Amino acid sequence: MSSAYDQLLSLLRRYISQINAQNILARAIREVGIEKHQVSEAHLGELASKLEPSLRLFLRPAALASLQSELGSIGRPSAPLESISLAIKQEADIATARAQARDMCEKLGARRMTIQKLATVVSELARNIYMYSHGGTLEIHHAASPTSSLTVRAVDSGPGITNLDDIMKGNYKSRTGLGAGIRGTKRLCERFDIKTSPAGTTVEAEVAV
Amino acid sequence: MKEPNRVPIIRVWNLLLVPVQGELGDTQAEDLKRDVLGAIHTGNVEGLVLDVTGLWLIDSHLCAVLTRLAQAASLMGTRTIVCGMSAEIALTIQTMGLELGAVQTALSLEQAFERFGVRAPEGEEEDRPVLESDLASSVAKGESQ
Ligand SMILES: Nc1ncnc2c1ncn2[C@@H]1O[C@H](COP(=O)(O)OP(=O)(O)OP(=O)(O)O)[C@@H](O)[C@H]1O
Ligand SMILES: [Mg+2]
Repeated sequence: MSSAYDQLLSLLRRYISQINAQNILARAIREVGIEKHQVSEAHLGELASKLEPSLRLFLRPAALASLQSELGSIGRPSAPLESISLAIKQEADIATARAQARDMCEKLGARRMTIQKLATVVSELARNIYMYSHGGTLEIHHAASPTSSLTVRAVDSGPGITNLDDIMKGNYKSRTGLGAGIRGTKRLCERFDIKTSPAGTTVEAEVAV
Repeated sequence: MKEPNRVPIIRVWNLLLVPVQGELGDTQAEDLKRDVLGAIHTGNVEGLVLDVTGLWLIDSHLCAVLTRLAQAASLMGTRTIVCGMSAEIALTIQTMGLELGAVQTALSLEQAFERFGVRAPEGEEEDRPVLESDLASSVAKGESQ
């Protein structure tokens, strides 16, 4: 990515609409007393504090906290992201997982459709962990060879899925949703494995980059 | 007082325009449904337009939220149109085989409004400034008509 400004804007865009992101950022930059093209990593701290009051208008506390933690990591020399591991306990963790999936794709220079697929897979699996188990973990790994691919691993120690056959065949009627999350996820993936027992559920889903 | 990140509901004549945006958690989804149905209940609402331009991802859960909202609105006699879906989101929903139920979709907000009988004012076509986006779309269409 080209500049600190672009990074900031693309981060904000994941939380609020383009137009709001541009306006809020323009205002914070003005308040810091610099011009758009002068924004550098040195200004990030100051910009973050100027952005906060405006962001409060748009975001729930959990989303605000997650944005702020992401703001903190802009500009830090980051090793090429090979993998991510996240605990999924609260609903806000689903949004964080999606955002991280998107980040990872962007760093890899993935196409928009790939980003969409991976983030959707992550969203489905993370929400299932949140809704049907007492919490679990979600990992995303990048493999460069034999072909570039991203693997999502969702693990929980919940009660397991009892009627997986019906769910995969589309014969299942969900009380909570459309009942199409797992089936749809499989269709987005190159490879999809699910192991489930009363001791928990593990899903491994691979998306080509 | 209104909570800061409540989804706004904008009344445009007898239509309700809801620019769905941000992270729609369970609480926000519940609030949204209650607010929209409340607004419909006050009367004189002919249509509901859910503009999803501000969403970067729609998963099956969000599809269910939108579908249920539309179903509830329909029970109260109000038709729903979803507009502003990006190509990536539309393709993902299609690949996954998600059903939007009886919810109708339109490409743009203008098209959604047109479906409810709202038309651009007379003379609009000639008088308004030509926008860059118009040029782009007429190029894309090959100016065939
Ligand atoms: N990690 C899990 N642990 C236990 N049960 C699960 C888990 N994931 C899914 N299930 C069960 O499998 C069912 C189907 O899951 P699926 O994600 O396909 O649909 P859904 O969550 O019901 O609806 P949605 O379309 O919103 O995803 C769920 O209703 C739930 O009963
Ligand atoms: Mg699900």
